[in-house]
Amino acid sequence: MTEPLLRIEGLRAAYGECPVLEDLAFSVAPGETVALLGRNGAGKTTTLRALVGLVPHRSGQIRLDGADLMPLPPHHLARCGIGYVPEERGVYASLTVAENLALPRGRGNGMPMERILALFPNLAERWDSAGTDLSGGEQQMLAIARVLRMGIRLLVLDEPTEGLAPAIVQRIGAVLQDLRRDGMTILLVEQNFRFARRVADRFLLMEHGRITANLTKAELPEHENRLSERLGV
Amino acid sequence: MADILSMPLPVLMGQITLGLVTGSFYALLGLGLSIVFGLLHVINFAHGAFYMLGALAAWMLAQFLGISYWPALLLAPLLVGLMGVLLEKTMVKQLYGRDPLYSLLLTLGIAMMLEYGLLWKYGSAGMAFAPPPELTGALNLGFMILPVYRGWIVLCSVVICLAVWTLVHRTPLGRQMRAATEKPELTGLFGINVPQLRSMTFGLGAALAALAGVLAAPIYQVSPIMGQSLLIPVFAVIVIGGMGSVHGTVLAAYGIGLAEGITRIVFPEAAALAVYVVMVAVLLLRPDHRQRRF
Ligand SMILES: Nc1ncnc2c1ncn2[C@@H]1O[C@H](COP(=O)(O)OP(=O)(O)OP(=O)(O)O)[C@@H](O)[C@H]1O
Ligand SMILES: [Mg+2]
Repeated sequence: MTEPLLRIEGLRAAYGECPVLEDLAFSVAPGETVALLGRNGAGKTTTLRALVGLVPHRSGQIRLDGADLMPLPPHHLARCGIGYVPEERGVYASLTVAENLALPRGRGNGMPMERILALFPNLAERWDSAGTDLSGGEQQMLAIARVLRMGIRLLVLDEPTEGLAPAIVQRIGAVLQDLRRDGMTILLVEQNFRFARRVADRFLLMEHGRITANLTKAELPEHENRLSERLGV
Repeated sequence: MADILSMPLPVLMGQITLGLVTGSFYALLGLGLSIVFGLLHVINFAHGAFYMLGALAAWMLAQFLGISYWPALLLAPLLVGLMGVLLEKTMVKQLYGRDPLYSLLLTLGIAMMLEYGLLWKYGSAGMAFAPPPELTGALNLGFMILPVYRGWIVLCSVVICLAVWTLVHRTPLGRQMRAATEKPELTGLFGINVPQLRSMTFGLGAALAALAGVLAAPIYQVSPIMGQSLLIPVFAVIVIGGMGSVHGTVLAAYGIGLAEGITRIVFPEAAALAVYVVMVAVLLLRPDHRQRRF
């Protein structure tokens, strides 16, 4: 087995006195798309936020390609090649689409703008619009396009299809599959099981801040009923 | 009460010029204050002290080193700007994430230490600072006599306001400042060093205040407490301008400056009140007008 790109071990995170993650461990191999599934409040968003250092109280080990991420300030994570698309998308209202795309300072080998605009043609049309004037789908596309400009090795997405029309969900699924074919490693939090099943290679079930199931695509049919039940879908 | 229409034109124009000069100082000081508030959420009560330090630095450079006005116009803001960066890195920074009241009190304490410390050394009498010979005298424009130095202040202020607007809205650095103002946490994840951006912004605000101080030195007395009376109306101006907006601050600054000038003709006793009347009206009628955006 190849060395994982991302390896998380013994991760704990808490909001104040209230622990959310306890001894969390999982890893993601290079080129793999892993879906992190779980009910509302299971701790999926907290896992991603702890990964990128946005949860102040955390401990444990987070390694990217062997390098310890724990002590790094946030602006170094971008330089390590992690792209994080938050649940609320994080599009800047006071910046135009062009400015949102020009903002990141990554590793300097970001995806060329022509390729980005080929993946997301809508963005070219909305080039000079303010972030606030975009639809939910356009905001999601902008949020993904923006991290791709950074030259990332690991794409981290929190519920990218939440609240979007089926056509847009299709489009985002196609983009993720496209990226995967190019060798991108993806960690995806999803409530939309059908979407996750379409794009992911491996599925982690999260319950009460722990991983309680770890299934490959091949193992999925056998456990599907149990999984659906645990997810409440 | 005098009637504005029966005013001789030169008197009216004289007051309008004075209003523009006041507006220029409000704009230069308000810009730094509002950018710092937007990005750092610090209500910087040391801003008036930075203005004073700019004037005092110009006076000291001339007095002790024989450095003239023109180099001082660059040197004083540079020195005070560096001091601002240092203050941010050592003290102001410690209080981020807490209620803005903490940093307000800290900066107030810094201002008091600077102002009363220097008062003890220099007294409150005020020191004279001569304008450079190129900027003395007056121009006869036909309809009015314009003192050259007043014209220079307004020109300088307009150019600097445009430069700050360009910096904030048209450069990569400004883009980062706007982004960090809106979403400080997330912005770090785009590879932007937000703590460094904050230090620089605090330094920039201090430098702008110091520049206003150098401009003020030849027309007001240079004294350790010269910033105190100016700071409060500037706070009112940035509230009126919408806290954190460059063009809002600049428009409010000149609007209020002119309103004060004109009030001085019709109702001189009320001139100093104008800014507060507008501020109270803005707060009561449009409280949501405050926005943390450039
Ligand atoms: N800022 C916060 N302060 C305190 N508690 C929080 C905070 N954010 C989340 N929590 C709590 O932590 C737990 C995990 O939340 P988290 O957002 O990680 O869940 P999630 O799996 O992403 O849920 P969802 O599917 O609703 O997005 C929940 O019980 C939640 O109430
Ligand atoms: Mg969530």
